[in-house]
Amino acid sequence: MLDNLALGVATAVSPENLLWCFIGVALGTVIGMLPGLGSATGVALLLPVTLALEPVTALIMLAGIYYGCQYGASISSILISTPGDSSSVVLTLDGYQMARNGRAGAALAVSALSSFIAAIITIVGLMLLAAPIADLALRFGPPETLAVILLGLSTIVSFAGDNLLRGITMAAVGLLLSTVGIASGFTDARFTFGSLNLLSGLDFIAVLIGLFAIGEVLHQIHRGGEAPIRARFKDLVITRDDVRRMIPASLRGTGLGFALGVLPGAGATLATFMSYGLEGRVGKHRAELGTGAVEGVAAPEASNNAAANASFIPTLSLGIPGSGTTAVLLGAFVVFGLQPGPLLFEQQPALVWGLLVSFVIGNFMLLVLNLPLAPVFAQALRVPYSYLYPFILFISLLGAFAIGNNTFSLWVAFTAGVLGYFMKRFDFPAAPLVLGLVLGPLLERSLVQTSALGRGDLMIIFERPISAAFTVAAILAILAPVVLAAVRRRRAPGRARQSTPTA
Amino acid sequence: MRTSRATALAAMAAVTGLVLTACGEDSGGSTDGGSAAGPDGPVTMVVPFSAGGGSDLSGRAMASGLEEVTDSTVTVENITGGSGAVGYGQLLASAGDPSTLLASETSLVTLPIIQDVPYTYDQFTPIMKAGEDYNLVIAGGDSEWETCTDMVEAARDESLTAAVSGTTGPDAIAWTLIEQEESVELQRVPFESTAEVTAALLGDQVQVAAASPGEVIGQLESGDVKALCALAPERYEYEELADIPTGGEQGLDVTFAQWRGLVAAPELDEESTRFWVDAAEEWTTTDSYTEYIESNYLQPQTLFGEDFAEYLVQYDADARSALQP
Amino acid sequence: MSGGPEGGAGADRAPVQVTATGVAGGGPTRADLVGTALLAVLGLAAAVYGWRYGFLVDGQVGAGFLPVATGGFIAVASTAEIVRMGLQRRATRADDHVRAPVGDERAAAVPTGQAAPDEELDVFGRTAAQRGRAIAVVFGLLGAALLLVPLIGLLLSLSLAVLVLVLVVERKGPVAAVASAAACLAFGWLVFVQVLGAPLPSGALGLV
Repeated sequence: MLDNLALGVATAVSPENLLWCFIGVALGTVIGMLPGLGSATGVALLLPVTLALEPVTALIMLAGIYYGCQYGASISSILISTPGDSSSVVLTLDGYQMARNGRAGAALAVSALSSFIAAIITIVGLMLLAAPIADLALRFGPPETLAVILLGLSTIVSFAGDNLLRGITMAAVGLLLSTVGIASGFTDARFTFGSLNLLSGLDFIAVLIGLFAIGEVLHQIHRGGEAPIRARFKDLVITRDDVRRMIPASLRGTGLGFALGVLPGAGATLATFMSYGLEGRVGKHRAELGTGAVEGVAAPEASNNAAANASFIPTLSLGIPGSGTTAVLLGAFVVFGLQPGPLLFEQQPALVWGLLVSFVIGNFMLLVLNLPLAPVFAQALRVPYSYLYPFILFISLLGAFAIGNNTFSLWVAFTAGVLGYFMKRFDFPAAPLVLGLVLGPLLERSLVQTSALGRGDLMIIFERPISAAFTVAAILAILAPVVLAAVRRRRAPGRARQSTPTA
Repeated sequence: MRTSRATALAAMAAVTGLVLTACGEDSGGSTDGGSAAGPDGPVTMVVPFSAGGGSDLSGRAMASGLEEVTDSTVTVENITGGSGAVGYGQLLASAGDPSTLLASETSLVTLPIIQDVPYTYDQFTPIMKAGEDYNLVIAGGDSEWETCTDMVEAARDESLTAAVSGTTGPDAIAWTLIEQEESVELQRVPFESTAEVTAALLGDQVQVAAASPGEVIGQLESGDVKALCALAPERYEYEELADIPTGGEQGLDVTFAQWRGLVAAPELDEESTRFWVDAAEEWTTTDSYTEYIESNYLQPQTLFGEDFAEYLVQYDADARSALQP
Repeated sequence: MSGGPEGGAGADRAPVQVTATGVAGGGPTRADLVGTALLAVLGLAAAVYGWRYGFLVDGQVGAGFLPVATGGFIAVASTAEIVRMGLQRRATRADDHVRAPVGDERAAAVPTGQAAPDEELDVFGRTAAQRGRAIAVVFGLLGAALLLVPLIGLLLSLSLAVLVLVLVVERKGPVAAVASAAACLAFGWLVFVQVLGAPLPSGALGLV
């Protein structure tokens, strides 16, 4: 173990590898900031550039792009409510509110710090426990995945605003929209109405660019816009109190993200929603969630990064990608003539450990880059909205196109933008819809698989201990607040509506 | 990098350019030394799937190989959507244009069989079948079965769970052929990708699966997955795969190949077709071709032009019988 | 030309913190009813249409399962919501607490619990009615820009949209408008075309 670590350090700190690591994280930050261009696209686009490099150097750079993107995506979510990827949607809730409250700099700093905390903890976990965790993850079959997704969907409770039923309905709408196109389990093309473009479904990134970025711009115009933020410098920097509130939330987020990120395909998005939901249950300042609470930034951000790192566990120890981006990275392994698989740790110790050590270095670089830059980025909000919003629209639509180089995505984003505007204006929460849209394909696939494994009997979900436990938890999570609310309403009939903020 | 990307844009301009302009350019004559029918300016290699996947990797390998042998710039464009149909649609729209190619594979034939798409395989100009891939029947490393015969015997007594990566992929077709041949029925469990199928095998969630060797070679070597047989006419020559018996050796007479190759736009004139067929043929003699084939554990069974077209007719008939029983 | 007092009246005000919830604080509005009714129709249509894909096939989850389940849920939940809102609305009316429907621009823009003497002019220097028009114009502009893509390409048509937005909607003057559009064009070209190599459509005219 220590030998390997020493080997890894020796590999990672060579001047060339340090340089490319830096280039990777810096490029990743920029790519992450652009709407529509997530880490998977970023890695794929820059893969050809790295062909001339040593394999380990190239992989260090590509991985740098991956986690650099996580940092970058947070920046645009916080500043202009434009999530670059579905895993930074949750950040638009409290992060954007913090920015609107004049605390953009602090929000960015909290996001960078909690990302860093999560990254360091999970990298250590990755180094120590990769093999046993990977084996554990394999025990998660379709019924377990189905149960975890149900539990994830139950976190809608935290995003539904003051009308729980409407929140759940919006999640159902998201699930319904996710069924458009050909699903992997069937041959039917559903709800495509003869459209070729709809065969592969609605791209959820295009939808969320529309719902969040474009919808928010139009909603701002409707409301009369925000005054440009003239924050005092002391509001731009993170305070001792912020740090105190941030740490427990980041630790909870890290744990949840790490656990969910290991599951092949379950992913970072689920982790961010669930960790936000968790803060709504156990956080000390849960009443402030939605109004710009530090915890609402720290927890999802930590879980996002933790999940990204955890997705390397099945990737490196089994040769099975844990996320879309690690799938592209595995492709890069093959291009470099490396054989990903269970033997990688044994056959390529310098590469694997060099890569792992470079994660630490890269995250440190990102922290050093992001902390001092946070107040600087926050200055972007001083640009009068009259100039800022045309740029947001411009960049959002370009990003929507770049998802698949398909003009159809432009129309998806535009339509979702119109829809998002009306949803915001009339208080139909968008976050549950995104959750449904993202989880829909996974939910359906695990339903089909579970049904196939049970020869038509879905109740096998209760026959396996892990899936039974998660399913029961999901049912409780949905029912408990409903029952509690009913009880409370009966006690205080006049105060049926609470001022819970909306997504 | 930069220049080739700048020229990529110029390529797009050329492809989608006004008909008038295009005609004007055509009469301008070729800049390529050897052949008179080569494309003017940069060439676009459409990859109808997203970057980083198997199609993308083979598209990029073919693009750089063709770049080498033709001295023209070949830029890869991932045009995704419609399970590949959008990319093929793009090629359809550039009928007659010698500067647009497409990195194609099995789904060129299978998608139009299953889905209502505005093209069929025979509308495009076939250039090259670059290689073939046969599925291995695989089971978890601790499975009780050693051969495909064991597996088929077991399937007669009980309903086995077989993982498939998508309901219409090559592995699904292979299972259908096995079912038809042996009169057994398997309980299929659909997954999204071979990676997920492999995870399900490793975790004992399903009992058998079928996959291309290149996608499971790591798990095969480590012993986490074992190959029961190869659904190929003869054994693989790769050292790591040479021990795997074919289905035929075990009395299971099923083979189904997945192919990768290159098609050009519809209604391509003879000269341009000749140009690309020659270029492709030349590429297959280079080291870059060998490297592409070997790193993906493909079989270097190549076919060009008309021969490839005939192959596709047969392939279509086979796929139809499996997909529309 | 100017009209946008970013540094003037607007900056003195605290950032407006209106959530739609705040506006809708009293009871269901017409928008709630219409939106929920639309959802009910969508759900019902999806459930009926989705049934054809097969709810269960050979006793196993079919392609229609999720569409029917979610669509059915949406339809039932929305119908229940409408009934509840109908009851609540009647109660609210009886409470003599009639609120203007959110559909009315002005009512929607008034922050709850905040006197709004400067309601007429926002940070853009527009009245609520003008803002309503501005939204329609932005929608129209974006749509028009997308329709222009096949002709003049994506970068140009989006830059043009920025130009018109700044010039016409924001009334910032030609210099500012051209500068904004040029900045966007340069940024888009540099990042998407040069660095990322995205094959942005250049349109029939093939300009950029």
